[in-house]
Amino acid sequence: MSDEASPAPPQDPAPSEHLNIKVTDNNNEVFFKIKRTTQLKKLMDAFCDRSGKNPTSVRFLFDGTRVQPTDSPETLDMQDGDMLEVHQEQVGGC
Amino acid sequence: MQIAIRFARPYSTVQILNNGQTCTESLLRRNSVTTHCLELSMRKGKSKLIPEIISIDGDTSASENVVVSLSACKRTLEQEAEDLRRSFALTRTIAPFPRGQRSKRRANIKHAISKQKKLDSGAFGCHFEKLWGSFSEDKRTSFTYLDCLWFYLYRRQPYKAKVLTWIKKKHIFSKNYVLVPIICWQHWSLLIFCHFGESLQSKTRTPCMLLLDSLQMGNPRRVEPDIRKFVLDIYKAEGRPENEDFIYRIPLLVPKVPQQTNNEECGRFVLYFSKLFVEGAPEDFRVEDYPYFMNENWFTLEGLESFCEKLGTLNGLPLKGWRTSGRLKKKT
Repeated sequence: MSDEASPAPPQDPAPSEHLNIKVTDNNNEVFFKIKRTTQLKKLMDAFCDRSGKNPTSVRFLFDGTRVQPTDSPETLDMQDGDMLEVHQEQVGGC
Repeated sequence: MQIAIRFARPYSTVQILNNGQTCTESLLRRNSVTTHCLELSMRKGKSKLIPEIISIDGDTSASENVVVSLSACKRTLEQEAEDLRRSFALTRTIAPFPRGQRSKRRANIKHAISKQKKLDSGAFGCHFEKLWGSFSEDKRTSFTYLDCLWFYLYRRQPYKAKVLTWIKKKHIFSKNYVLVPIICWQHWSLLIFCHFGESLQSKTRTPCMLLLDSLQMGNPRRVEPDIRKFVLDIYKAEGRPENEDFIYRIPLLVPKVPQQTNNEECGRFVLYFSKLFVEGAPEDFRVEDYPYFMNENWFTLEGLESFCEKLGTLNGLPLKGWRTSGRLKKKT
């Protein structure tokens, strides 16, 4: 789809199409394998699902910046082996 | 019924959660409900747990076939046991589990969240970014802001150094003003760095800090020690020539600003402070002219209300409740 004159032959997809991403919440580490173009929402939901967290109560940070569910490894320029941190959202009122 | 795996030293146990209640070993022994407890030794051959790799892509059948194991860090095992009990951090289903039942449980959690009026950092950050995007190009060049969780994370030891490296990328010493939303002791306040790049001798621009707090009776200055350490570390991390003495003499000003009338509004106040400050801040901030517009009559509660309403519609989300991610979408 996004063929920018790259000579990559279609029958042999580049090995870098998938990334391994480590997700950690300081207690657990989970490794995910994800396509560069896949929305990170899938990864975030999978992590929350497996660690029993409510997706609305945690925040994923990549290099300090909040990850939006619509971001993909490509839009964030992530490399193989990069790490996402999971932090509990904080509530403030009084 | 859900089944959870809990790792405990020296072996792992698999426990059954009964109606959401974690059955701890001691509890089980006391109540002699041994039938509720399955104990499995996970130490066959290897004492180390195999790290889990979950494949996100591929067809649906592939994701169902992914073998899930959970990796636990030896270092944190003890702390983990406590955390897990609270957060079900390692809860997962093992047997085929009816989907509908699970999402119902989650929908209940979501419902509870949308009811509360206090802003959490997720909602706050979302609204703040929207607000930021509404400022003019000029303002966005001469101002910057730090993520609303950074100060909070700075106060937690394992993240301190990381936060400082993130801040470096913000080039705060070349900005006129830096907005730093603070959440501390479940209270939002707004810290503003003014002219950090200037020298203390400058006649036109004074490096100083403002702390805008909608709860004066809560003693806003209780965070001052943390702020001082934070600022000192920022200067050090950037390799600035200013010495410690200089940094401790940077004035921290706490103007008397409009106050909240309940115990849930501070997040909205901080958003409104940010908007009005960015719009009204002078090109050159001087301590002599302080407090400028920041007084008790700065704005009215009606003004705050209409601001929140507008921001809510700008965001497509009401200023209370907020985020719905995929599976949690409420039926309307």
